Amino acid sequence: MTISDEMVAAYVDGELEAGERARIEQAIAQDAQLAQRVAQQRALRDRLRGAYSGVLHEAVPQRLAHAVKLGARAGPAQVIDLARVRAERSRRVSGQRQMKVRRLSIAASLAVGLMAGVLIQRLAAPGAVTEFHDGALLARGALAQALNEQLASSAAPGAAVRVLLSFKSRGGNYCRTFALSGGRSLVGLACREQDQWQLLNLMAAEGAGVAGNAQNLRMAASPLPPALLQAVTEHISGDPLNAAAEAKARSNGWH
Amino acid sequence: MSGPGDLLHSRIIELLPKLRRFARSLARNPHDADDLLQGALERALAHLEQWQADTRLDSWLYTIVKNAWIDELRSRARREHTLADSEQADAVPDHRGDASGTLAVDQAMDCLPADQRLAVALVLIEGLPYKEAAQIIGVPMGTLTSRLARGRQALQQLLGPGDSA
Repeated sequence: MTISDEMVAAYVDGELEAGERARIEQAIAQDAQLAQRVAQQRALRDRLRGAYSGVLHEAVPQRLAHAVKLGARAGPAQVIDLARVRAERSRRVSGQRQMKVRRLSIAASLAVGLMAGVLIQRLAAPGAVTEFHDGALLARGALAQALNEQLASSAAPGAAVRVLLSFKSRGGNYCRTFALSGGRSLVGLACREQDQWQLLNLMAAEGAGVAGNAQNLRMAASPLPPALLQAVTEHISGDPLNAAAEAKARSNGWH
Repeated sequence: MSGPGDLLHSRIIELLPKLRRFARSLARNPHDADDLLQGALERALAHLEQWQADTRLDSWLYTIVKNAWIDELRSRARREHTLADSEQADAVPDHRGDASGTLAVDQAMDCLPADQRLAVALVLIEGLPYKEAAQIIGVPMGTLTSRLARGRQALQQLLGPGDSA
C-alpha cells in the first residue's frame, strides 16, 4: 500500500486516529523504505524542537514579566498606538527639526510634541494641574492631590485623575503613573522630588480613533503607551508596590 | 490589588518560556524575539477581556504574538521598500551555510516564507495539534497541512541529513 507524505507527517505529528495509526505501523514493519521516511520526519521534528528548547530553561527577562504585571495593574485604560503617534508627528515635523527631535529621548520628544497642543491648553487653563517651576513640570491642583492621596486603581468612575501604578525608582523615590481624563486624555509618570511630584512623562492616551487595517490594529492598544511603559521600566526598582506597601508609603507622606 | 485577574496574570507568567520559544522561532534574533513578545504582551494585557475562558489561553497568546509578528513583517517590508539602501544590507540573512553545505536550524527557518514558518513553528516546535494551529493562523486545516508539508520539504533540503542519520 502507498503511504503519502502527508500521511507520514500526520503519523509523526500524532494526528492519526487509532485505526489509521495501527495500519501505518503495520506497513512500517513490512516496508524498510517507509520506516526510513518516518524516521527522517521524526528526526526533523526532534532537531527543530531541540534547536529551540534552550530558551525554555533561560531566566525570563524582567521586562517581560513587567509587561504582564504592569498591564495587570493599569487596567483597561485606553491608549493610542505610539508608533502611530510618532508617524503622525514626524509627518508634521520636517527637515532639520525632525532630525533634532529624533536625537532627543522619547520622553523629551513627546514633551516637545505635546507643547504644541494639549499640554499648552491645560497649562493655560484655570485650575491647571501642572506648573513649570525652575525648569521642572510639577503636579498641581487635582493631579497633585490625587498623587498624594489616591491609592492605585481605587479612583471612582469618572474621576478626573486616576492613579494607575506606584513603584519605587532606582534612586529610591516613589513614582506613580496616572491618567487624566478630560477633553483629551493624558497619561503620565510623576516621581517624588523635594516634596513635590515632578512629571517625567506626559502623553496623549486616546484609544478611540485607531484607524487603518482593523485586523492588524484590533489589538494595538495597550494599557500604558509603550513609551510610558518604557519609562516605567527604566525607572522602576523591583516590582510595583502592592496595596499594603502603597498605603504605607502614603501614610509616610511618600518619603 | 488582588482579584480574579491575578490568577490569569500568573498563568500568563507561567506561559512566558513557551511564548519566548515561539517568538524566537519567528524573529531574526533573540533580542528581536523578546521585543516581539513584549509588544504582544502589552496588546494582550490591554485586551484581556477578549480572551474567552473556555478557550486555550496559550492559543490566544500565540495568536497575538503571530499578529504582532505579521504587523512587524509588514512594516519592515515598507521600511525596506522605502529605504532600500546599504543601511539595510546587514539585515539580509546569510543563507550560504557552513562548510558542510548545510544550515543551522535558525538560518533555515529564516529562509522559509512566513506562512510555512508559522505552520512549522506551531506544529513542529510548539507541538500543537493541527486544529489549534490552523485556528491560530486563521486558515482551514487543509491549508495548514499543505503549508506544513512545504515547510518540511524546504527544511529537509536546507538542513541536509545533519545529525539525523
